[in-house]
Amino acid sequence: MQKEKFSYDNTIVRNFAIATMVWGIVGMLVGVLAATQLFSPMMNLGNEFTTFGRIRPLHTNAVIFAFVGNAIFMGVYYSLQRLLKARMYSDVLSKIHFWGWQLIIVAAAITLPLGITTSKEYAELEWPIDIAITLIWVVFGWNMIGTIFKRREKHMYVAIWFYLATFLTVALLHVVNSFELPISFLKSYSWYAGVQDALVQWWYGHNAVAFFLTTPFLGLMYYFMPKMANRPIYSYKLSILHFWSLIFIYIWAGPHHLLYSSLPDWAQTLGVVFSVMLIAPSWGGMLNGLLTLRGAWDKVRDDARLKFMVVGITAYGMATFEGPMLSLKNVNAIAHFTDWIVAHVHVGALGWNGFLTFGILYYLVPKIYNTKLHSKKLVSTHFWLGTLGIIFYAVPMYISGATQGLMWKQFNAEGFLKYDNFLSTTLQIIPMHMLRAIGGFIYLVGVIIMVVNIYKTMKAGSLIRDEEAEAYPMVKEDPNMITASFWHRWIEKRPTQFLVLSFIAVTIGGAVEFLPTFLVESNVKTIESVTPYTPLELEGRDIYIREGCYNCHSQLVRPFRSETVRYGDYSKSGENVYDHPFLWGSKRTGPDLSRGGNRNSNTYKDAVWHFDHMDDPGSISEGSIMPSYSWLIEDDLDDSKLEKKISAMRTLGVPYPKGYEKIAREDLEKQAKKIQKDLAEGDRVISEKKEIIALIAYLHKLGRDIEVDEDKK
Amino acid sequence: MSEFLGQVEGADVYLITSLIIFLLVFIMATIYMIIMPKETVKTISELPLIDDTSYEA
Repeated sequence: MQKEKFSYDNTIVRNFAIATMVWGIVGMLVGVLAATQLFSPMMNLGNEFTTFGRIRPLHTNAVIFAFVGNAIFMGVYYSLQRLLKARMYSDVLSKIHFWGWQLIIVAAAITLPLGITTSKEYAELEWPIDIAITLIWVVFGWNMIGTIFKRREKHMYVAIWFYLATFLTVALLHVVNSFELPISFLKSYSWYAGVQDALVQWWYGHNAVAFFLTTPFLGLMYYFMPKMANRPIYSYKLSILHFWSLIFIYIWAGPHHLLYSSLPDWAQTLGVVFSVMLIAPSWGGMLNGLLTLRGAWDKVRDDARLKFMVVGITAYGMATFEGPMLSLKNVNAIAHFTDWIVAHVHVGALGWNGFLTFGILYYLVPKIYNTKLHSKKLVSTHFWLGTLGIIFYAVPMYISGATQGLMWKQFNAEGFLKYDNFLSTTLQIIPMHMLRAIGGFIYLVGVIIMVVNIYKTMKAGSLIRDEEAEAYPMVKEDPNMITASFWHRWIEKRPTQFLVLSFIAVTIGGAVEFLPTFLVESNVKTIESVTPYTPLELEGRDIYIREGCYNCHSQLVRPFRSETVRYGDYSKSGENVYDHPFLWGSKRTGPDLSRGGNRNSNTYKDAVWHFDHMDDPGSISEGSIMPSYSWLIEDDLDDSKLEKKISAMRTLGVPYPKGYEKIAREDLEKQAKKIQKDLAEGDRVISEKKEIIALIAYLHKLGRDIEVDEDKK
Repeated sequence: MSEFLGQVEGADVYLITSLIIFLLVFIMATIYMIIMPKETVKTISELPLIDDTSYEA
């Protein structure tokens, strides 16, 4: 049989490599800016586009989808072609994928600072961009599966299994979580409400970590680690067990983000049990990666690329041990809402995703440019700066997280909260936040050194756009021949069946958790006194979403004495039945606001207080790190979409009377005038049309319905 | 732990069902792993190391 000649497409690999580096620097730069904002409000730069509430989602989206996303595609396009002995299915699809993905990133970079957001973490982009993501993702899958069908290699290496599972599951997560009802070109409301929205969101959020930040990188590890160590993976059999257990278990663990919330207890417990079980496959994968170096550890001494891989995989091991520990309810009680979670996430992001990406970039750029790395010494410098950066980032954040968790819960001998002013905790951890910013900056300097090194490497060589290769065509086997490896052949020779099996594995967990929460009425108990938002409150809520208030303020009081004393009654699922989307938040940089409208709560503040506080938070709370929102006092409320909003909410099940949208503006004006009067009585004279009035109306709605309930009792 | 689980409404049904489903998947994956012939495993695990030539198993 004659070998066939063909070529690998390296141009697409180069393009994704450049995009990885460019967006990496942008995303991390925004990260450093956000880090400085948490100790110096001045760094919010005095305008609405660069406040922490808008910059934080820009940072997370940029590093996850732009930096890590492009790195995934770079690695997949390089390894897939070589593992399958075939050029990518279509150069045109590759180009559409590349440019489409970059356009989506640009759209995100424009819309997020403008306050155009759905508010759902890591899924903030509005519906037209969601549709674009879906289309480009399909192009990626089409190109990948097309390549698998035209392959010359009969076996599908385990890395490709991870790539396929990534494609399939991310598609599923994205589509289910993005169900939203558009009311205009750039505004929509989540299809789900309250606790159900929270469950779907954290099923998505948790599994975005699993299937965007983990499985594709495991696939890359299974290809590039053997390449760099020049020896096969430690145990291929273990990689198979690793694959099936990981994709099956991961999908169940989402509810561990909602412990002590109003999510039904059984769902929380399922989340915890499966989170603990996750240690096994995660560590199986980590050990498989590290043990590949068995007998070749001496190479690590001389090869900084391997150092990146080893520290990266170790960081994966640490993060995947820590994750299950954080999901234990007693640990979660202290760690949730604190900087501990931020530390945990960054050990994974900076260590696992970052370091593996750097190792792979240093490996494949010289290969496709047919040259040597410009400077090995600079690689080593980058490695040490990166490692130092991670330590300087993570250690202060662990200290800060533990400090927050403990100070929030501390009672004095008389039975009162020892630190009843939330700000005392904030001020306590400021030095830690400064150190964290320094850590992030050191890490960024390392990345800049890498970019210079890679740029010079590219200049020294020349890109082999079409790398010549040859391989035997795939021989068709007799379908009647049953061999000992029958099942393996059956799966790996049929990508479609493989996808179906993976689909079943990843949907079972979601279905068991979703269906009862959506269908069994007793799981979301309604509260009679909870009423829909008034038109003004609804507009105020949209301002709250636009400004990203949920990035720093939670709306979820957990059933602990330390929280009910500080904030008020604990949160119940019935309170959020009209919340499209839910706004529970995941971090308490500032205090919880879910009882902000309940006059029995310590967090209740009158209209004048809110007015002054939004204008200049530091003048009300000395040392506050909250930025000024003075534009809310200057800007008029745009209520031109009010009718559409009311109609959309009714479509989603909020019981506004039929035709209410036609008279809603009258109610809005009436309520605005009342708040205007309250402000005027405190000598704050402004027009009733200002945005601040709507926001105050919303903040005063939070927890107010429950107050009525208590009075009745 | 059992006392805690006992207080959760319907937990037994969900937990037991989920664990059974998981065990079935895990057992199937393990059997699948065990019955894979050594030769095939060796050939596949060496795939990343062969860049430009194919081979026949």
